[in-house]
Amino acid sequence: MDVTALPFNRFLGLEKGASESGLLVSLPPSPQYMNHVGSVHASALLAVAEAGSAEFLLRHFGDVAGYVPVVRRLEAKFRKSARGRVSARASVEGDALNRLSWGLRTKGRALIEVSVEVVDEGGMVVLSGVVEWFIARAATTA
Amino acid sequence: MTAAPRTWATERLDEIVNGPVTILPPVIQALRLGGLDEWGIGWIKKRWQPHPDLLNVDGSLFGGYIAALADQALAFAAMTVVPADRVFRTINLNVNFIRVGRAHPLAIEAVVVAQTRQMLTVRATLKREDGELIAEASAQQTLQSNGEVRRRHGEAGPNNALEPTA
Repeated sequence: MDVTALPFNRFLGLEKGASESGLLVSLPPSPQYMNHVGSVHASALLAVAEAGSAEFLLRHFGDVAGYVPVVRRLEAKFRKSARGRVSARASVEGDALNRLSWGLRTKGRALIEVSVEVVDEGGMVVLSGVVEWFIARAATTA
Repeated sequence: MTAAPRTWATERLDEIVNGPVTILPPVIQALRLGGLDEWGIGWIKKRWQPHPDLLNVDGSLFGGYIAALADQALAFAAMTVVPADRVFRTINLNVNFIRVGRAHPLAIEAVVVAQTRQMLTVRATLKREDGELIAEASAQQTLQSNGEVRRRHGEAGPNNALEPTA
């Protein structure tokens, strides 16, 4: 699965980040994402943040076929004005990924909180937040 | 009923309610967030119809997009009360996703729940037309003088502050 190939992300123009950079997805600079004052609009930053958290989970789990992931909660703090390309990086605390795997294996569902930061082209953190995902095994028909 | 004071923000809200979609800023048009239907002091309402381009392959709405819709509605609500000599900046946004949004129209409402000299607290709900809650959101916005914003940010304002971004 490719996060950037999802219809909304394709519509938005989201790109995958280079794997060695630690940046998961990014949005290239474009006048259509700008405020009248030349910084990136909050709406675009929110989309990058959520897509970054999704890409983080995909990179750790690979194929999500057979599972339904949905966002349950999103918290965002807007820290600075964003300039140019904006990119997301993400992380989870401790053994959260192991607990997610265990929950999916034993219960067929689990929650995970992904911390995400969006940085601009100057490396400034412009948004920090948490995206909570609920992942459940897809219902099967007999 | 108290008439809304005339400020840069309320004038802009009237323009958005009464004007064509082309008066919306390019970013709002690009993201297809749409305009505003009604507002009063401390509240706003809008109906939003998702475009097929915005849906996932399973017909669901992307959560980041719902957050963007909520952010816009919360900003509109702030604009109904922001003093004439002030601008606002969203400093945090929380969105709880209750049900998966799909290709149905959404009724979006936002209200100002608290206002101090320096801070607004706003809440929004996004519901299907049958009343089912899809998401709820809240935000806090700091109020600053326009000159203060310019001093802190140079020529660049915060990400979603100031009137033409809504």
